[in-house]
Amino acid sequence: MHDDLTTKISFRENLSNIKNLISYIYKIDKYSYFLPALRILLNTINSAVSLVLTADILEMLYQGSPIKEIARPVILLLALTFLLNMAASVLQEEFINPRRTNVKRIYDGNLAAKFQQMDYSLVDSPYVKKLQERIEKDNNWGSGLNNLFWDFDAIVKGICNFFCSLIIALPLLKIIIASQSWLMYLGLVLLILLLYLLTRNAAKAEAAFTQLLLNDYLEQYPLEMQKEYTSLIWVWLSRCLGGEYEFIKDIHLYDGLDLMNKYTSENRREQEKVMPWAAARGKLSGRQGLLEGVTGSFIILAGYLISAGYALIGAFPIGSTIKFAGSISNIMESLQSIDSNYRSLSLTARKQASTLEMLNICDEMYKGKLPVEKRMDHKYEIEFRNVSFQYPGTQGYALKNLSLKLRIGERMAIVGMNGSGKTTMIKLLCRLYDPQEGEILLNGVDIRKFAQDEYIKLFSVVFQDFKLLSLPLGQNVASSTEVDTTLAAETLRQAGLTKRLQQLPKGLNTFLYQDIMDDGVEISGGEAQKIAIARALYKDAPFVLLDEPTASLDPLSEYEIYSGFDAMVGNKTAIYISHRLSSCRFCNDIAVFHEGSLVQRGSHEELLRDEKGKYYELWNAQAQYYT
Amino acid sequence: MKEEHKPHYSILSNILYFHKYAYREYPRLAFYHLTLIVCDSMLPFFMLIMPGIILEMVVQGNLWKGLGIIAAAGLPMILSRSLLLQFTWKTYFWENTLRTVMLGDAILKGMKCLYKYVEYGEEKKISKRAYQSMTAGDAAISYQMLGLPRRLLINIICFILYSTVLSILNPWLVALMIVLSLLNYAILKLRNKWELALKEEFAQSNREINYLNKTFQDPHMSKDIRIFSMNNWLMQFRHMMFQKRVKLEKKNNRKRILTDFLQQILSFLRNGFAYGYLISAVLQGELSASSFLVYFGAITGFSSFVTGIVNLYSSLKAQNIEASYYRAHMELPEINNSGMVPQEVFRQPAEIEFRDVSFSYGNQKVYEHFNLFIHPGEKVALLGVNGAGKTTLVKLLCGLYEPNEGKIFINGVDTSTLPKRTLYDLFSIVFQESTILPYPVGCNLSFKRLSETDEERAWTALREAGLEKTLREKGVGLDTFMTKAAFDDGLTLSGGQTQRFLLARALYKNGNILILDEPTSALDPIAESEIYEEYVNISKGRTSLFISHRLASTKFSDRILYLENGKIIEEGTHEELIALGGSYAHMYKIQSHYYTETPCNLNSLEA
Repeated sequence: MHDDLTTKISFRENLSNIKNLISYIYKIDKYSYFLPALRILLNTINSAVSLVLTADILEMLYQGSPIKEIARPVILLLALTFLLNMAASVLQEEFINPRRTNVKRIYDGNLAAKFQQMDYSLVDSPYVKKLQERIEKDNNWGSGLNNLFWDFDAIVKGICNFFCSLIIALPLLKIIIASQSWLMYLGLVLLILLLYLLTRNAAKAEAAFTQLLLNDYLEQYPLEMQKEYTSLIWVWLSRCLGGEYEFIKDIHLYDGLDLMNKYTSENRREQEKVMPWAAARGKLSGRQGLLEGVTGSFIILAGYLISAGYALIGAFPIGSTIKFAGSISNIMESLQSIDSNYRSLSLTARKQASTLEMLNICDEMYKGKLPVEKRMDHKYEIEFRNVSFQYPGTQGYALKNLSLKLRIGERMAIVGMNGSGKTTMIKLLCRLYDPQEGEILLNGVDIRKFAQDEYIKLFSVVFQDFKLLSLPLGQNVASSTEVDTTLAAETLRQAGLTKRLQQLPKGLNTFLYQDIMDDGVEISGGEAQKIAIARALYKDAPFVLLDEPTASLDPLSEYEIYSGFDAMVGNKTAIYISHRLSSCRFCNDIAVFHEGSLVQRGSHEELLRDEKGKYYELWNAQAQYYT
Repeated sequence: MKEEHKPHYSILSNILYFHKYAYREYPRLAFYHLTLIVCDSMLPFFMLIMPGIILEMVVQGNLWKGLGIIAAAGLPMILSRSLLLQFTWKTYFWENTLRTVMLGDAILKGMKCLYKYVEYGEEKKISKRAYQSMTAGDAAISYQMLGLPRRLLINIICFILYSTVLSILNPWLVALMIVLSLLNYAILKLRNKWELALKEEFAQSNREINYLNKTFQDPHMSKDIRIFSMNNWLMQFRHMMFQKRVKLEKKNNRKRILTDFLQQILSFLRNGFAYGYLISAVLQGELSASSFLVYFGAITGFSSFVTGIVNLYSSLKAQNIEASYYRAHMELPEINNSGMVPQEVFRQPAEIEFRDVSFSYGNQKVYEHFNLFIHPGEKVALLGVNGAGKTTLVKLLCGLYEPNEGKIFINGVDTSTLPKRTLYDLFSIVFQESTILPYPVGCNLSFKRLSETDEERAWTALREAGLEKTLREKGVGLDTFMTKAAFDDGLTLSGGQTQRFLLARALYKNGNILILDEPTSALDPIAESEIYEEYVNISKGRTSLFISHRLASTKFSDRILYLENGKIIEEGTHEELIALGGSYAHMYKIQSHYYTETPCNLNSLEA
């Protein structure tokens, strides 16, 4: 009926999704499959034995056997149930649950950590961003990895159930074959036919429905409205959950509520009316449920009817009716369950495919292995040679044919207008990105040839959009669980935070912010910036790169940092980016960037002499207000 | 978290609240729920009596009569099971839709409340938890508050049906079963108690793990994590958290096994009794062998309903806490938009007065008995070190915050008596961290729907802010979406362009009072200087306030206020304050000496 909405996903694709997911989890912990399978086997044996013994007891009751004889199967049944249940419980609570929770934690944790372990250029790439969106959407409903476990368990249960029930039903088959009666044969044929017809219909309905769900995730309907709505509501939500409430003040002041309403609730309600899949989903889900219900109850009834029929014509004793009825419906039910859980597993695997894709992303940057020579004298020379760079997914060069040599142990300032390529240069220098053209050399060797974890040790950077973690202050400064407390306190002092540090009840062990600990301290933007500077100093790297480190500081704090800057940096090489040109006065070497190129270089005095130069223009724009 | 701030509503009132919400949005859900209750409570009953009927039919050996009975008993079973499954699915999908609606409403609600609720205070925690309760996937509170009571009711109905069956055989059986079930309840209670004891530890552990995962996935963290090789640190932290968690779970699991064991013993005793009693009843001829199964099923099934009732009730109690957060959030007082509007409030240019104003964030005092008078049309520069209270002053003035004591007057009208909307409308403010919304350009300027945005005014504002040309060159119209959140080809602006855009937004609004809070911190010198010039232009004829760390901005102000610890310690014109030689002069000297000394140095060099 809704064929236009249900594009087929091939069986092979489903199978490969399932295989990928199962094998990834298998690698984390294979026992998260084996142990539950064992538990399910125990449970199935338990119910099969119960079925057989109950039939025996019933038969004895019909025959009016003495109580002593009946007692034997009863006691056996009670004891067996107790023991098997207990074994299953121990398995479940002691082994299965902890293992599975751990698997989920590792799986989620790996996904999160993957993000910080892949190349930075990938993190920033449109591909990874899209993938991240997809993951978010795929996990918006359903229960994630739990679904895999549930589906897996259900399929294993189906298989165990099928074979156990088959064993129980075997005598019935023998009786039928031995009877040599056409009536009995007809009964058997009818049974198989019924089973086929019922399950086929239900499976069809379910297949159509699952297909619909799968398609939701394939984004077969890139309706603008849906896209608008879903992404917008998530924007707000992630903001609110992230504690970024600040935007709400604009909504207050600018009377933006009606606009917000349009893009949240109103769209949602509109969407229901307009979207074909919303209606189709409701209808299909109902139809599927209906067929599943009819089939399920017919299966139970059929089991009873058939075995009752055979019992009536005297094929076996009355008590066994219950046994055969149970096993016949179990056989049918388990087949149906395997089928439907395979579908549900396909959906689960489809939804996890995005996560697995992320987990399997390979780094694309060349990974050098050369160790970086340790030099106490910090004699490291950096040279940019004809470097050009373009951000992935954008047009136009961020840096164009840049050639630049850093002088060892000197302070260099980079100035230029917004978007002139200053920060990009820092990113290339730290090898967060590789340039498309040209090369960057460290003591004459292309930096790509060095092992990245050693190379990065050369740099301390305070980025414009630096971040601190909601972990202890000391650890934030040290970027490690092991903190040299004297050094941490000293660097915080240099950054001008001694007074604040003294006020903190737990000193360096005080948690920043309140994400993890209620007794964490809230810090202002200025304080955060000072901590970030302390962090850079603590690292004690031969290169110090500061990208607008004082943008949110007041003039007094700014001055403190400036005036202490020379002492802080010592004999290291420093690069300094700032829009406050007064800061350039610390540096005897100023590089002026314009539209991705180096246009001027020299001392403040030299540059100012060129009245047509960019530097003159920048300087005067600011200095005019101070004269 | 402190106990006394937890919002609390009774379970019953929360159940009503969520159901009313659901049925108001989707009346069909009422019908679905009713069907589910009827079918779900009837089905186990049909399943219970079915084997007895069939066995009896076989015993009696009457094929046609037997078939009739099966049809009579089988049809309702088929019907109830089919309807049950059908409506389970339908309910799930409509409740899913309901969840997004309720989430959207919660977000909107957050925007209607007093602004202080989103920035500080206990209300902030309430709102955050309310959002979280709605985003927990299939465990979201809307499913829980609709599903749990329904399942509870079904269990109660089944309990009554089974009791009736058993009491036909022997009323004492029911009493005995209730006693056994209560024992079972006691065991569960014990288990709950143990779990509750660990609840806080689990919550803390969740908080840590969630934070770490969030941090790992935060793209803004990426650079710092790589530069400072934080991966080891974070992985170590993660390892510690996981270890702690595993230990915690182990503690919990052992206790679960113990209670499982007790429960198994209990059901062993119960089943033993059931067999003994029923078999002897059959042997004594009080009971037919066929009904043996029915009664056995009734006895063993009975306790599952009692257990179900107890379990569901305790889940409901636990979920009720989350539900209360959602409701408390939805019932936060909204901003007051009623009140008289005296016409003099609109008089241009406006006059502002702070009279004896005190304000604090919780325990942290910011202003105490603060007084300030700003003359009509005056241009005031507000200065001070970080944390001196500059932004707080702006937020108090425009009504985002309300003073604890004292009053603020605009043109002599007490602003606390004004409707909030009227007060907000008086201001055009550019804050330090204003947001560009993922909406069309026009909506971003006007904060209104595109159809309600005045096109001419929008372009004029963009032109005055110096952005029209840039946008026209890019081929951008008012209907172009901004940011890449919704559309890949959305318009993104650079830092400087964003500042200009925010200025255009303030211009479009055309409020009587203009306030700029650090509008130039992210700008390069040329853009900064241009913004200053724009400022001089647009502040003509308006009372205006300019906050900046760049003291150059004071040059074109009529009066400078120097704030420290919530007090104005110096005020006057630039020249007056320099002559005074106080804090302002010091600050100015620090910032300007590199600029001013330069020419001297240069001159001396050249000379």
